[in-house]
Amino acid sequence: MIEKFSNISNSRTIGLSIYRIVLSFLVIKNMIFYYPLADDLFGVNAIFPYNDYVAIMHLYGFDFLTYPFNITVAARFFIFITFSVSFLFLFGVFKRVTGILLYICLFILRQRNGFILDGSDNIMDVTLPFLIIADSYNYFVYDVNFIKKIQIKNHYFELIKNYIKSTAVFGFMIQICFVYFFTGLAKVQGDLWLNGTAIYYTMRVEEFRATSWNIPLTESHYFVVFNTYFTLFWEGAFAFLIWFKQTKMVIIFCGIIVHFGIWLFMRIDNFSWIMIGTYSVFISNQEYVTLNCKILEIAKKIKNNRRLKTITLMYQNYEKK
Amino acid sequence: MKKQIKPIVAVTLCLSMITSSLMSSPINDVGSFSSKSNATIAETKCKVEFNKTNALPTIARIAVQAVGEAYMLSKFVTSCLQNIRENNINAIEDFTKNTKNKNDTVALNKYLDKSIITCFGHKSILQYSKFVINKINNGNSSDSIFVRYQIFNAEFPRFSKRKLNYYDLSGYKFSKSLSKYFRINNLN
Repeated sequence: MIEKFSNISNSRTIGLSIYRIVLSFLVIKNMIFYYPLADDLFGVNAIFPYNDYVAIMHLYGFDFLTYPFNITVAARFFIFITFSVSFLFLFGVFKRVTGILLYICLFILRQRNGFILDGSDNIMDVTLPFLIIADSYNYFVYDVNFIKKIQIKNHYFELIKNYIKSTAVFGFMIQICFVYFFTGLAKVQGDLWLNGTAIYYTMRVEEFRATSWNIPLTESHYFVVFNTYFTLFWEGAFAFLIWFKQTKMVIIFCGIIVHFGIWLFMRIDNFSWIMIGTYSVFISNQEYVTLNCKILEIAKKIKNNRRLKTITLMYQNYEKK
Repeated sequence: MKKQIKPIVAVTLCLSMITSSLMSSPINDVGSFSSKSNATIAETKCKVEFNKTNALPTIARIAVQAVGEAYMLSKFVTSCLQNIRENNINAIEDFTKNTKNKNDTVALNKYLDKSIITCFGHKSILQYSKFVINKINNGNSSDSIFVRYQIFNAEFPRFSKRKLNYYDLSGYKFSKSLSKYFRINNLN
């Protein structure tokens, strides 16, 4: 039983690596946007008072992590450091060490100016610790070995190591289920979601009205009611149906559509991409192989069909001559 | 040498912000500022809308710029307002729990005024206002600067009236939930 559980970590390595890449890309993107405004957002005279940041760090007991943003160019330097660490994490360089450093960097930035963060930053916060522990360094990795690895070849040691990694994978998946389940529960408490009109209001909010299509689309009764209840049921069902083979792909497909819609019509970009990225962990290595085989098969069929069409066309041309 | 007396300059910046609740309005930050110099009042009203040279824009540009600085600032303002609202709700709860006379609105307002000073969202809005005033003031020194930001609750036509013109403000209901002047010190 324990051995079976321990193997779970090894069966999700592709998904974990994909999620590592998605997360690193988003952090890199954020840092690129932060850099020109580093002083305004995180500097000594930033829009969030520096003294409050020091007070918060003191309150949490993290005085030793208080970065001196009050020094000139310190904010830009810190953004550059975070960018570099996330770049290393993207390629899995120094693996868990880089992961921990990235977590610390993001933590400091969050405390310095928590008001510019969004849902994607929260998701990163709650998933990164699991990602660091789990086996997410098997693919798309540039392995640097400055220090010779000490390998302990002991069955029980391996078992405990894999057990911890598998627990991290499960923790990650349960965390995502928690996010959806409690968001769904919160929605059920609101009248607008229950009477099926919430989409009308959310799509018309000024800050999130990303396209000129939002107004005409929300004039349609069917569009509003269908999408409101669809979102509600899908969010509520996610935590339960994601665990079964038969329903997993359907729920993931619906999730991609929902988040793509959120990005398209409400322009909440980072959150959409990070949530879609988390789905990769729910798919096992075996399922990735099967999926890859199917895609290759379809591609082969299309290629053969094209070749057949070309041969038929050539033959028809030959007959005409 | 006779000491030169600086003219009294008071600049009042009004930032009106709409809460981004489910029922938000199509109005962005509408700012007006009035400056009083040597008792002559020169009042001007303008839409506080910054371009790229001002570094930090207001959320007015969010519709055209979905990523980047305007997007970040929009998140910042929304989070600050949310923080202020939560702070006010908690303060009211706290007041009703610990006070015998629950209907004493004067005491409640005093309590709210005290609690808002320590609120991170409020402090951040004031800090952001310093940015705004620096851009408008163009480095001219002022003896006292007051900032007023307003939080509106706005409701646009309900779902049953969805065919109404979305951009026509006469169909909207506005109510003010916060509107006060705060002095900004240590402007730099």
